[in-house]
Amino acid sequence: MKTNIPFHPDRTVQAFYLFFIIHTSQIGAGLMGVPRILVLEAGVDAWISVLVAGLYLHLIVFIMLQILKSYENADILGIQQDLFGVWIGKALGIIYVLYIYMLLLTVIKNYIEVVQVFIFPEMPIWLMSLFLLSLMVYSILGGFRVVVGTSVVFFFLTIWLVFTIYKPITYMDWEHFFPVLQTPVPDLLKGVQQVTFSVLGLEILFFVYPFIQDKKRAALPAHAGVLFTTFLILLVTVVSIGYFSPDQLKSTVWATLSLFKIISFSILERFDFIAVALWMMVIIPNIVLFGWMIIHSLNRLFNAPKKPSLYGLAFLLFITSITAEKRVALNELTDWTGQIGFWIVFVYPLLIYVLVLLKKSMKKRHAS
Amino acid sequence: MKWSSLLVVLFLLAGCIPKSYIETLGIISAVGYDLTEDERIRGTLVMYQFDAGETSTSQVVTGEADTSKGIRFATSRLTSHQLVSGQVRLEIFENELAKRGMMKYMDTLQRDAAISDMGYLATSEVPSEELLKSGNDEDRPNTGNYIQELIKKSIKEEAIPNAVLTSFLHDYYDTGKDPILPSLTLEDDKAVINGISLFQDDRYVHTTSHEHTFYIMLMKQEFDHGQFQVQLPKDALEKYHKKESIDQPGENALHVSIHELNSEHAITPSKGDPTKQSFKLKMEGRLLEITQDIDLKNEEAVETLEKEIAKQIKEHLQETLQVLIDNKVDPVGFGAKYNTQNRTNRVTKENWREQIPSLQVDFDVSFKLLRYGISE
Repeated sequence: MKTNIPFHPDRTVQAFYLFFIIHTSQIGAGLMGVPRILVLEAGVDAWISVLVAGLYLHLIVFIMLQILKSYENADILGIQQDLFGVWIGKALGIIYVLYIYMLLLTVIKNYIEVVQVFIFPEMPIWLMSLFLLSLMVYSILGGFRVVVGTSVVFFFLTIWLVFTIYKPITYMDWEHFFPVLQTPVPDLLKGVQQVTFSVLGLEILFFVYPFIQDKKRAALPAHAGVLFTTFLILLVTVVSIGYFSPDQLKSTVWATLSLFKIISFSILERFDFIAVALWMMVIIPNIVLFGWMIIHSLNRLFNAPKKPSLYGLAFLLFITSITAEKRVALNELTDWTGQIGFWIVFVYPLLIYVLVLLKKSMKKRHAS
Repeated sequence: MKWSSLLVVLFLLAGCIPKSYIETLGIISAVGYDLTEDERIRGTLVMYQFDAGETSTSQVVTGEADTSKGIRFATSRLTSHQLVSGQVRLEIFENELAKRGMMKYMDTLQRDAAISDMGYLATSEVPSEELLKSGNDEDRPNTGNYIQELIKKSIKEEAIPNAVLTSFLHDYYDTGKDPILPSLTLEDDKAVINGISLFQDDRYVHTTSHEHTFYIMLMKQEFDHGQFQVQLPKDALEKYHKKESIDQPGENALHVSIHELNSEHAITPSKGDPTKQSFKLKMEGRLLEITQDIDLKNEEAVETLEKEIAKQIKEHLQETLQVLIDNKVDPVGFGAKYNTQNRTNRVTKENWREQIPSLQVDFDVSFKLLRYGISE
C-alpha cells in the first residue's frame, strides 16, 4: 500500500463539501439522546460541557489538518503505515475498520430501537435493517461522489427540523439554568466526554482528505462543520434543560425526540411520528459515509475488491443487527463504541501529530 | 435486473408493516380513573369509532384493573374495536385516587410514546365515570371531547392555568414547586370546572374556590389578556361621584370588572432564607364595568381607583397565600425561585414541605388603568 493516494480529479469533490461530510457524519443517532446523558453527568450546567467540547473539537480538527498537510495526498491508513511500518500500520488500520463497524452497527440498532418504541412496536428488526442496508449498498455502489451527494441532499432534507424547536422554546423555564456552575468541574469534564461520544464520526476527515480538490481551502468548511454540530447539540441541550425538569430529563431516554411530542399542526396532530420517520434521513448519511469508510479502508489495506466486500459488509451488518434484541445489550454496545471512539477520535490524533513532528525534525537532522 | 430486484423487495416488504384500518379502531379520546371499593382502579374510556352503518360515533366503556394499561386490556373484551391510545387528549383522575399520588397511575402516559404530551389532565370531585357518561347538551361528538374543549378554551381565556401533561410533569419534577390542575364536577348532569386542585408533589390535597383560582394564577404566571372582578369598599370613591347622576350612586357595593389584563411579576427571595420572599406585581388593564357612577375625567379619581384595586388585590393575594400555606403546597414555586439564586441552604423536595408553613411573602402590587371604554 502506498502512503499517498493517486489524485483523480473525476473522483474528487470540492473543499466546501467537507462541511456536509463532517457535519452529517457527526450528527446521527447520538443527537436523539444527548441532552439526557449530558445532564446525568453535568446537571443543568451541561451547556458549559458542550461549549468546552466544541472548543476541543476545533482543536482536534486543527491537528488533523496539520497531520494531513504534512503529507502530499495521504489518508490515515497511509500515514500510519508511514509512521509505524507495514505490520503495525495495517493492524492499526484493522482497529479503525472494526471501530467504524461498531459505530455503524450502533447507529443502525439505535435507530431501529427508536422506530420500534415510537411508531411500530411490532415491526421486526430484520425488516428495518434490510431497508437501511439496501439504501447503504445502493449509494455506496455509486462511488465516492454519490456518497458525498447523499450527505448533501439529506442534510438539506432534514435541517428544517431545527426550526420546529420554536415550540418547546416557548415552554422553557429559564430558571432551571440558575445558579450557574453548580456542577463541580470533574463532572463537567465527564460531560465533555459524553459530548464527544455523540459527535463521533469526525475521523472521516482522515479518510476523505485525499479526495478533496482544493486542499488549501479545506480548513474553513471543516471547522464550520464542527461548529454547526456544536451549535445543534448546544441548542437541543439548552432547550431540553429548560423544557424538562432536571429529574424529568434524567428519565427521558430520547429527550430530543420527546421535544417534538408537543408540536402539532391543525392537519398533523402528532409531529413526533413524522420526526422519527424523518430521522432516518439524518442517519442515512451516517450509514453511507461509515460504510464507505469501511469499504475504502479494506480496499486500501488488503486490496479487497470493492463490490464483494460491500455485499459482505452488508450481510455481516444484517446478521449482527438482528441479534441482541434487548435495550440493555444495545446500551452496552453503545457505551463500548463510545469509549473506544473517544480514544481513537479525540486522543489518538494528538499522538500521531507528535510522531509526525518528531519524524519531520529527524528528517531535517538527517538532511543537515 | 437491478430494478426488478428492487421492485420485488419493495412489494414484498411493504406487506410486513402492520396495518390499521380506521373502521376497526376504537380511538380513545378521553380516559377517567376512579378508585373502587376494593382498592383497584376503574377506568372509563371514551372512544371514537368510524362505522359506516352507525350514526353514533362514540362509545363509553368501563373496566377494572390494577394498572392503567390493564384497563385497556380489561375493556378490550367489551368492544369489537381495537383500542388505540394515540389520540388520548384528556385524562381525568377522581380525587380519591389522586390523593394516593398520581404518578404511579401516570407512568404509562410518560412511558408510552404513542401518548401525546399535549393531553389535558384534570381531577374530578365525582367519579370520573359519571362525568364521562353524563349527558351533554352542547353539540360535541362526545362528553370527553366536550370536557377537553372546555378546558382548552378556559386555558386560552386565561381562566384556569395550563393543564397539559408536560406542564404537570414539569412542575412535579421541579424542586420547590407543586403542580396544579383544574377540578371538574357535575352540575345538573353537566361537567363544569369548579376550581383548581392543589397537589403536594403528585398527591391531591385540596380544591380551591373560583376566587382563589385567579389569585393563584396571578402569582404563578403572567397574564396577557385575562379578566377579573373585584369588590371595593362601598365608599372608597365617594369623593368622585358624578354630581349630576340621576340615581343615588353610593347605594350599592362597588364592583369593578377589568378586562385585557396584562401582568408582570418578580419574586425576590431573601438571601439564605427561603421562607422570606417578596413579590412584586405590576398590572395593567381596561375597565369594562363599574357599578357606581364615577367621574373618570378626574385624574385623581382614576388614581384613587387604581390604588383601591391594588389594595384589594394585595389583600386577596395574602388570603390566597394563606390557603396555600394551610395546605402546605407551593404551586407558585417560591422554593424553586429561591434555589435559582442561592447556592447554600438549598431547598429540597423534603425540607421545603416542612418550611412552607413559615413562608412569608411581602406583596407589592401596582395597578394601572389603561382605558375605560367608550363612556367617561
